[in-house]
Amino acid sequence: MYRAFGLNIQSCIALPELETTSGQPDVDIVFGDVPDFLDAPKTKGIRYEASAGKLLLKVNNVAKFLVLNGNKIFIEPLNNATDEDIRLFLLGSCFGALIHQRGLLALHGSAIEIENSAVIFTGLSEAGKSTLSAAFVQKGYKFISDDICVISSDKNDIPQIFSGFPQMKLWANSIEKLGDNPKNYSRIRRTLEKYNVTPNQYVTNPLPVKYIFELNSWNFPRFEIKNITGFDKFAIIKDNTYRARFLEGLEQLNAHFNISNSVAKYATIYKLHRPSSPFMLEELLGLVLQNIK
Amino acid sequence: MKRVCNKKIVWLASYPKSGNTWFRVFLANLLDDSDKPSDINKLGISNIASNRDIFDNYAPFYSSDLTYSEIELLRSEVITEMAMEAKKTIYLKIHDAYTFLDGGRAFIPENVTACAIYIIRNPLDVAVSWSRHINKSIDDTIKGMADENYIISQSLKGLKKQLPQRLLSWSKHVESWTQFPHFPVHIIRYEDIKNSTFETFSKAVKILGLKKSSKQIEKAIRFSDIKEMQLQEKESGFKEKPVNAKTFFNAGEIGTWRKYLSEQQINKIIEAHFNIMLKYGYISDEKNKAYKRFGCFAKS
Repeated sequence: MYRAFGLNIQSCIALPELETTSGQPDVDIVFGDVPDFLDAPKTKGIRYEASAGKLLLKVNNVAKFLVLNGNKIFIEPLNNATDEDIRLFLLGSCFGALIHQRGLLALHGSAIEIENSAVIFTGLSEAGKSTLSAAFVQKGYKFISDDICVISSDKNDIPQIFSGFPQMKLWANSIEKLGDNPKNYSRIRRTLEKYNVTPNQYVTNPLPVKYIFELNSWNFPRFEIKNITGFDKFAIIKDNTYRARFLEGLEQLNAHFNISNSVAKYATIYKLHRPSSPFMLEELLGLVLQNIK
Repeated sequence: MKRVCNKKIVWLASYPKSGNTWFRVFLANLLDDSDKPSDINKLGISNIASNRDIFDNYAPFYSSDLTYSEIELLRSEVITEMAMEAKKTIYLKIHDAYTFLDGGRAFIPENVTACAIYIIRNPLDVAVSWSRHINKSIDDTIKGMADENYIISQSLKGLKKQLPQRLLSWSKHVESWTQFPHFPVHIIRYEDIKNSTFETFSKAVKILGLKKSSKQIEKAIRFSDIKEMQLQEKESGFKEKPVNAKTFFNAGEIGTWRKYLSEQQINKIIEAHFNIMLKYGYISDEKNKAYKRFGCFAKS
């Protein structure tokens, strides 16, 4: 039995990235036949179909996945699929859908702990989320999650993030920026120079989400940071929701709005621009710390 | 999500540094129809089809987890999805060549394409401008322009803002867009935009089916003048400029190559792109004869 995102996970496929645990499973991952189409899907997108409680995802040359009711995932592997490839899409888009089905908020980003609270770095791919998070971990801060940040609101309407699993996905040049050598790590896929890096310290308990930084890179040679207020906070949350396109078909827009509301009320949200090159990691880290009270 | 499937995409296609952004800024000003020039950093029309965020928004996986070939296969579907959801025409800049995927499907989805404007520029001038843009030597740039497997924005060790784009060689790029599509492609020579701006832009506006008066076209031309774009870039920068390039909007003069290319470099370009250059009037018949006779041109 594995544990991630606050869930006990029983899986037919080994998930070495995840922590192990015991107890009753919340999610069951099994091999099985997966249909090519859903009956009367509410929405159809590229390689996916969705309806309430159901998401069908088709990944060429890897697998077909059916994610059901936030508690079951069927996998039908396709020819020559490697376990690494199956795991990548399972722990990525499939878990994104499963989190949506459970009415939780999934943000696309990376999170670390600072003074008993969670700081989330979100933004587009290439913004520097994982690299910045890894730089904090290198300085001794505890790691919470990479890629998907799962948030629920507690009984006092305070947004709490669940730890993901102790793995950071870093590109070769990010590892080099951190003064390390990619050769020390294993690749997430044989065909990509992107590696699994295990953080030294890792948080396992839920933490309140106190800060969200939306990272952006631009070609100007300066940093800019803006405190986002009011309704604009919702735009940041929506823009950075993990696979937000699944929400409508899964009929989870209301649940998404409710947790977004609790995040918008509680968390301080910044929009931060950094020069795209050079990366200026130390300065970026300093700027984040300066803006955390 | 309401799907209003239609032929919504108008491609603004070209090899890089061929006047595409100029045309796009002109079009944005024309559509804005404001009493002041459109902000080059907030153009009202879409940016470029290869933007990573377009892909990551529409695809069910993030591009950062995919291989180049997986991305290339999905990009076509991403563009289709984008068009299906669009309520109005999308003017989409593109530098990818018009290629075919395995199985013969066109990379550019024809079922959602209305038409394309293809801008062509003298490769001798492109070489000078492109080398500044990518911050590489002119020799390396010329080599890239002759390489039929040339792909830009490809990085194996990390991510770039734009997805990899298959350009082919300069000649093949031109041929791909002017010979293979089954939708109308209106070809514009950069030099005609420069020399006969009003006539060339007016014709394009008519072909795009936009009902705009001469006054509106004149105003959009004025607002997209190179001096205006340079002024805006000087004052507030231009977000599409590569980090290592000094400026995005250079003078864009015709014949800059005379100043910057050696005879050997000129010959290399002509040798690689002879037929297309001849077809579009970048070398004359007279020069053609001279080339055949002497194998080179004098720098004129």
